Amino acid sequence: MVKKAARSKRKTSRRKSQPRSHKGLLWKTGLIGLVLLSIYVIYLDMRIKQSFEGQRWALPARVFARPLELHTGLPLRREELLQELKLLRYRKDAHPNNPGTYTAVRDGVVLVSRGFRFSDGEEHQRKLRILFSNGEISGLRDENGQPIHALVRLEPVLIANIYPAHQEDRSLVQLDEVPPLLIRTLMAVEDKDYYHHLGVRPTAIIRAMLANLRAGRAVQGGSTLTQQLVKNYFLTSSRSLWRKFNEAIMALLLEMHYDKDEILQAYLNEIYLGQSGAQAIHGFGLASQFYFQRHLNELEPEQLALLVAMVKGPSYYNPRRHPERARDRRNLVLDVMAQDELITPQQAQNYQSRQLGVSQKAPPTKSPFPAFVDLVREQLKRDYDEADLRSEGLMVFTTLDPLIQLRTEQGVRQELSRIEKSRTKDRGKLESAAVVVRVGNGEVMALVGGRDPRFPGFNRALNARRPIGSLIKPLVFLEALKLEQQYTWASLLDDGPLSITLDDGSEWAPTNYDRQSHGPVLMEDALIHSYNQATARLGLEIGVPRVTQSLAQLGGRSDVRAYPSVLLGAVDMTPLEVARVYQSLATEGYRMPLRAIRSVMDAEGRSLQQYDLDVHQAEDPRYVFMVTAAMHEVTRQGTAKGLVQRLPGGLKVAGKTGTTNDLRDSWFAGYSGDYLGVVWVGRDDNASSGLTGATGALPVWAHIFNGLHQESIELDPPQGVKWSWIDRSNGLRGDKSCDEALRIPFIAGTVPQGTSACTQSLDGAVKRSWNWLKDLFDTE
Amino acid sequence: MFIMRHLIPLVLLALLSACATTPTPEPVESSPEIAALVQQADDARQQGDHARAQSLLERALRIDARNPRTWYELASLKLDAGALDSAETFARKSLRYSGESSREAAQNWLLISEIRRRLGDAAGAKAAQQKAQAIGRSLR
Repeated sequence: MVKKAARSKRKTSRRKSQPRSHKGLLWKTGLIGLVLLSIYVIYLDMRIKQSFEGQRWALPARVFARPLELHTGLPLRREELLQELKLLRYRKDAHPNNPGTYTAVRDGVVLVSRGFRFSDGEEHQRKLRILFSNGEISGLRDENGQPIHALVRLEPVLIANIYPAHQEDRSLVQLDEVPPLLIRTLMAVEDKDYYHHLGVRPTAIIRAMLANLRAGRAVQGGSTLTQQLVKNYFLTSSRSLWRKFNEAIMALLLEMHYDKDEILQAYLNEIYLGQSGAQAIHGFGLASQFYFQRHLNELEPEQLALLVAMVKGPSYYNPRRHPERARDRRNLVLDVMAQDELITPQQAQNYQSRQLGVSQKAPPTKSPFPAFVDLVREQLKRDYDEADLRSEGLMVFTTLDPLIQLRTEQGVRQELSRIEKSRTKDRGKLESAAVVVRVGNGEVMALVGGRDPRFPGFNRALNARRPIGSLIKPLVFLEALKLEQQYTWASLLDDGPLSITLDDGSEWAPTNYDRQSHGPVLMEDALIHSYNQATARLGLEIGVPRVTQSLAQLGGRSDVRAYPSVLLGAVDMTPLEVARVYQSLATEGYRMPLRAIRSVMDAEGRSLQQYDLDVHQAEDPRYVFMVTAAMHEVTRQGTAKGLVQRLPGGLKVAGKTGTTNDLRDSWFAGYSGDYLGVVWVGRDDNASSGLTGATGALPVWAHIFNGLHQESIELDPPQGVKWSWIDRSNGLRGDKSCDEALRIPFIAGTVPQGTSACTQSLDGAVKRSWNWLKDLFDTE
Repeated sequence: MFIMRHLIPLVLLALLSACATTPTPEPVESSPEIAALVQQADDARQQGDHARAQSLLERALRIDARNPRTWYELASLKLDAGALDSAETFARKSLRYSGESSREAAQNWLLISEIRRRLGDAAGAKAAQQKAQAIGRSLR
């Protein structure tokens, strides 16, 4: 090839230089020309090889939600599965046989999964019948109706793309995954001799050149697929002959180096097929998602025809903007398909009568869950370069549970609207943030950064540091309980007025929310009713540094100065930071990092990194259990008793309300046996929200938790802790029959010695026998 | 090496319970899904693929975070990796769900005994082993 090109150049030179006396010079010039041309061709060769081989495509990182794992006994409602399928863009089909289709039947759902390669194994595409009863999956059946006992993972929902800097997007396809009809149609329309030519078709070029000469400018193409590929690598819109010449040379070079299948696969992934805002749509894989919201192998023949039709000019034939043009060209392609006997003429006619089938809107290029993705990116940045994230095609598997996420968003939206409905002014000013974590392993299930969850603005869950108010109190009591010889939940605390002079000479005189003093109170009651005076006095007794240390030890901020006001929550923290601390309480003192990422895979499916569960014992489980038990009472009879009628009967949870000065911040942090949730409600301008923890954040929390599948907190004490009945009026041992009986957990050996008089009363004796009788019939 | 050290007491324990005259408490029931994941994790671990074993056990944990078997297996995996502190923490999590005197509890104490031995805490190792043996006797 090189020689041929050189010879033609030489001929040109000869014609220009006539005199024979210059023959030597001519030879020299020719030789120099040859050398220069060779160098140029080598240069082109390098460029094209680099483009083709080096870093073939800059691929955005794909971020996925957790895959839904189906198994018999999984608590899941049919509507929830249907919601998941909607997020995965499954299509309804009365007789699902193709991947990505489903039908809802009387007792369940029949679907054909798409299959997915996970880092710990491949999940194959399969047909499934999923049966439901009583809010759980009651059975899984394969296509022959046989029960499946294994776990079946659906493919995970794509929640975000982290795009390359030059804004190209692709979804790579392998040649063997591409429908053969697409390839044959493409060749029929664009390049009939693809498998036989050498990269260029001289006859086509000559024809095009003649047409161009006649028109006086370049109007006609005649490019092979190989030439089109080269053109795509170095996208310029100029139609100069020089560029055509370069393209032809590089096409020949490509064909010399690589085989036809390799080039074809590259073509299928490279060709430009549209534009989505700033993102260029490259390749048939992504184009299929972009136009039809389906995988390439799920497309109908007329949809394949439309994609091939668009190769000629993706913006001119843009089916969303110019449906008429697109339809005409698609039908032309269908005619060609019939001519080449890829389909019958009847089929062609049938397909031509069909709609374009293009989805109204392009799928969003921005993540629907921007707040959670912020957290993912923050965690990714610790281990990966920004450039790699944008170009290496990493697959990031996160912990997000889209069903819980949507539930959390709904809770925030609906409860805030409900709260503001009764207001006459400042509607729309309330903001909120929420975090939901799985207690068992510290995975972040959902994260909401503001009232409008789709808006990628200020992420309050990660970045809004607000005073936490009474959320700090469980830590004050935890530290007191650790001094087990001095304090138990049955200790009596003084809730009288308190005033101390601080180091700087100022007075600190905290008051209770109800502006009342409650005299001597049971220590547990001080937490249950969130008494400020009793808590502050206790905190000063044990020392503020114990509390700040506890905060750091459980995973909270470690830079808090030990001022007395800390005892009532004058500590600014983000909802996520609060979640870290409460997670340690929810797990009986086992601290685990909150994780948003499970693993990262490279573009070839190799596992790059796994973020393993890690657990450290931050606190003695016995004391934390006792705190949880008291926080359970908070939700039964204390500041959070409003939960009782908002949650399913029988579900036992633990939680704490938090309210700051002038009702600026409203907090609720609480957990069941399976999930922990932290909710903040307030205003961005830090004005009064008019809400306490119980009237603002609590209803949001309850809305979220009301929809979760979960078990109660563990109230079976760990070794070394036992329950005992206490008369809460005096802190002495009582029994169930006492009027003010409270069941309290104690470290073994610390139950009060004295017995309350209430156990001796006649009234008590009657009640005791009544209780005995009741217990006989009470199965609880 | 570890397997041998670890297995011998286990086998002894099994023998002890086998010749028991009174019925032993039922071992903690795992669902078939969890049992399968734990088995696959065990296979992966045998083949030296700890990452896969970890990932499978974490899947089991998502199905049931209170299954002592899963926590025990995670503890063993940490021990293999030489992360002794984590291993003991995981074993303690397992103990929280295994009940005080069950076969799982005894296994966890044996594991803790091995961890302490490696940490150079001979007395602690012995105490843990005695706990395991006491449970073994009580299961008889």
